[in-house]
Amino acid sequence: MIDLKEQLRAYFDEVDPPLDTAEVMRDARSVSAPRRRADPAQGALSRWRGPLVAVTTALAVVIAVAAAALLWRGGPGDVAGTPTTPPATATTITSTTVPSEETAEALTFADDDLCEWVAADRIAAFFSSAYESSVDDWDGTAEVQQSRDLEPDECWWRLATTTDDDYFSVHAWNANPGVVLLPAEIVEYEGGLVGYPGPTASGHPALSEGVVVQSAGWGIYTFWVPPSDNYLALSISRVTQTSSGTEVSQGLDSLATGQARIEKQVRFFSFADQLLRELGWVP
Amino acid sequence: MDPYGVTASEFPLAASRVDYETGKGEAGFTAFVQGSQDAIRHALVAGFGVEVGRDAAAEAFVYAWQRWDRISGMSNPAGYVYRVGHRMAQKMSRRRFGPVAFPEVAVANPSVVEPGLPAALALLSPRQRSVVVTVHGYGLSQREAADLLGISRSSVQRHLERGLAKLRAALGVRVDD
Repeated sequence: MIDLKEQLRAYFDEVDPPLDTAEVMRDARSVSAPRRRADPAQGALSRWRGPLVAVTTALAVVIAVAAAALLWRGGPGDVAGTPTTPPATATTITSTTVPSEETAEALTFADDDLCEWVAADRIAAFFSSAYESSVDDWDGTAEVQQSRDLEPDECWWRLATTTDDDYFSVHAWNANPGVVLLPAEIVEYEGGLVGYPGPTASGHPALSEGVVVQSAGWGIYTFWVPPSDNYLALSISRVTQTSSGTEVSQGLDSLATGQARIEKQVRFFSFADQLLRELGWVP
Repeated sequence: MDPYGVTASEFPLAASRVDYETGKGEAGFTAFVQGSQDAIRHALVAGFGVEVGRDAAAEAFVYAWQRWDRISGMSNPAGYVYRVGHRMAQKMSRRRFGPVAFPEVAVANPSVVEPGLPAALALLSPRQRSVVVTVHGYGLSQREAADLLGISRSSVQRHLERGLAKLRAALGVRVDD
């Protein structure tokens, strides 16, 4: 029988030996002699690479924005799919859905249950507001996906009564700690935030001042307010059962194209901004 | 406010986890690295994986050496350097993309380290992984892990149970305790 705990100990003994103190000292000396204060923008990380990275990132952002603009202009119009009766759920986030101030003050990603804080009817309202005309066979409600092994600071909601072999779900989670797909460079929003990795921008009109958003694809975004370490990630997925297995397509390429994307993105961001304000992250 | 925006109250690294004297000069710094690096490195590896965690720890010590005159006078230098390393690890993670990485190891006897263990670790949620690694990878008590990670003891226990269950399921092993 495998003793898992012994294996973990043996594994980390193997892959994480102590740092060589002499080597650390050599690295320290090779950088510079002790000094009084660091450059806050660069930190101690490879300062010589800073300007090169900045220029490269700026060029990449310009190219990405230009390519996205061309794509939108030349692409098809809004293909919203088969017209359906809009769900009965309200299409705006009303004040009645916002937790009280007492609740909001207590909200943190560290200990609170995100599924309880963000009630399923808010997710339904959000989805309805942004994507209502694109989803067939939806009764306008959402439910927490209890089958998932959820952390307190994450939640999955599934649009209720959509079929088991084709449904949408919304995922919100604390993107810190962990791998946050964010480049260091933050640019001013100039239109559109689509693609992977997309630009990281501040100044989006649907977001409060100071909020930065990073796109990891259409419908997958991370929001935060520098210099805070708190990151709210929000995404929409479509889960489809096929003969070859389960396919999960994050993002919303199938739901909208062209200008409709931008409009839906604005609604997406407005919802995220509401959550950020309730968290108390927005100054 | 220091360059990394760290305040004294933010130092989560328990002073009991380190054993050093923070003397001035190179001798003092060397003693500091020797006495504090396990705690700092372990915490960063637990959160960010082996590659990023070790790189961030090394970079944080280089950063500390450049400011050793100031840092050596702090009440909790290890806590400060850990926070610096944490910020560095976050930046590194953003640049490198991809999931948290745990390297495979070449072992003659798979019963020593199951070959699938690194991949299974990557399946855990960040918090489950941090708890499992600090408690069972590095031998901290649950209380120490709670202090280190800034979460409650009950959360440690819950994440630990879930994390181990996931690992067992991924590796196809039976309960071993």
